[in-house]
Amino acid sequence: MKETKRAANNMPHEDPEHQERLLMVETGIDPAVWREQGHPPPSLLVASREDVLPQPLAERVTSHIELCPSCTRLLEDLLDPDVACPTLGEITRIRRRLPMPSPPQRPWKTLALIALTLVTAALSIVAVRTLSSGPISPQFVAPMPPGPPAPPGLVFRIPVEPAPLKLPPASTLAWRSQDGGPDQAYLVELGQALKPYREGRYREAAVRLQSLASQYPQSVEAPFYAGVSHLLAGDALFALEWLTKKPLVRSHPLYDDQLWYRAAALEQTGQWAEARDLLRQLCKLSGGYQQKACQLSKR
Amino acid sequence: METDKTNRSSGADYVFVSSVEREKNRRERLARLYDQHVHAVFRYAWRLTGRRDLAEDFTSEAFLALHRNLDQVEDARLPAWLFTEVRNLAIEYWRRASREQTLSEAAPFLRPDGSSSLVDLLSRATGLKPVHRICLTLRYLYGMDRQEIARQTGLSEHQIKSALQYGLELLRRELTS
Repeated sequence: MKETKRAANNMPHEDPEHQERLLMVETGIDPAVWREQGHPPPSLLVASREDVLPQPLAERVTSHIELCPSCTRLLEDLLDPDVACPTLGEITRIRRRLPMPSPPQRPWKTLALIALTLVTAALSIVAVRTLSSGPISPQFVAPMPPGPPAPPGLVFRIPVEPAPLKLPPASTLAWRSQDGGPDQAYLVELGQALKPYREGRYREAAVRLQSLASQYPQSVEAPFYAGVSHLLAGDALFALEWLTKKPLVRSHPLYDDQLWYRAAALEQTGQWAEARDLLRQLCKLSGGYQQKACQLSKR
Repeated sequence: METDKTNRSSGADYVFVSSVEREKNRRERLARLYDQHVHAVFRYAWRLTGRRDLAEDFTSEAFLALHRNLDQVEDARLPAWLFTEVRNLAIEYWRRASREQTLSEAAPFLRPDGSSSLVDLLSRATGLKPVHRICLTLRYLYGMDRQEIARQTGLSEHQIKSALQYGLELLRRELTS
């Protein structure tokens, strides 16, 4: 039923073979025609540039490249610096073969993370109680890296906690089904990139989400959570860059969150007046941040 | 007599401790140099072989050679010393491969003119990144499966699948627009 509906709508399918068939039907080009024999293997193409091949072989490969646009293009792409970079797995495997001290194991890191989580949770409870019972206590400081000193009259600290995950409804389908529509690849990759975020590894999350945001320029969630990850990792400048990259419309579920975390990033980078403006905006909205924003902006 | 024995024993301990210490220092130095140069050496090895598995082998061979000659090699001579090691290994590899005639006779590199349709198609889709083009070319021109492409590129099969899907979708949009 689902398949019939999809076919009727002519929606692209997740499976590359299916897309290949669609390409063939819509353009009249048969990908099988491309498959030809007689191209040198990619390894020879790459090595031919470095003067390590025996002379007769080098001459044949070079003359083929000169005449073959496909191989010329492929070689250009293969020589891209990103393609030649070793992966983490390769680096680890090479390291294992060498007589070197293994990278330092840090059991204390786990303990420190647990302790930090407990302290953050305790402080959050205190913060929530304080905010819900009245004005903010002057002693209250959220757990975050210290920002530059505030000018007189503008003293507030915006507490930063991990932003709740608000993903598009289709993301749940993307995990369960193989045919979730054109955005399925993005949603699957978003889910994977958010894994370190859920586990509190914010630096790693920031890197993965940034790369996803570059790969999918239309995405909204990836740049937002990249910004929040930077903020939680203590990089307020990067956070600000990513949180301002994709301004959201008011109806978007992440609109309030974006304003709140942008205000926090502004505050941490010393732009208190701008941060207070955003808090005032949030105060006028009826979202989850309203009460906190009103109290902070009055200070 | 007893004092002499004690002295000798402590001297042996001293020698033993200093050799352990020296080996520890050597390993730490190797680790530092590894962290500093492994990326560059791997990239160079890849450019000489075009194969990631070989680049991995040659990189580790070069660092093992460095470990053997660590006392003779100064930091200032790196990474050039490692590059020379990798280059020698690569030259030896290609000479052997060529001698075994797996490359020179079995693969006649013919008909380089018939595949321009794919190149035209790929160059029209400006949104494609090098990695997408590589995956598409290896899949549809070289007829490689995902596993082979993964070996060639160092990407996971899932990433290959995504790259192919994204690339095909972009090509499709480009052609139908």
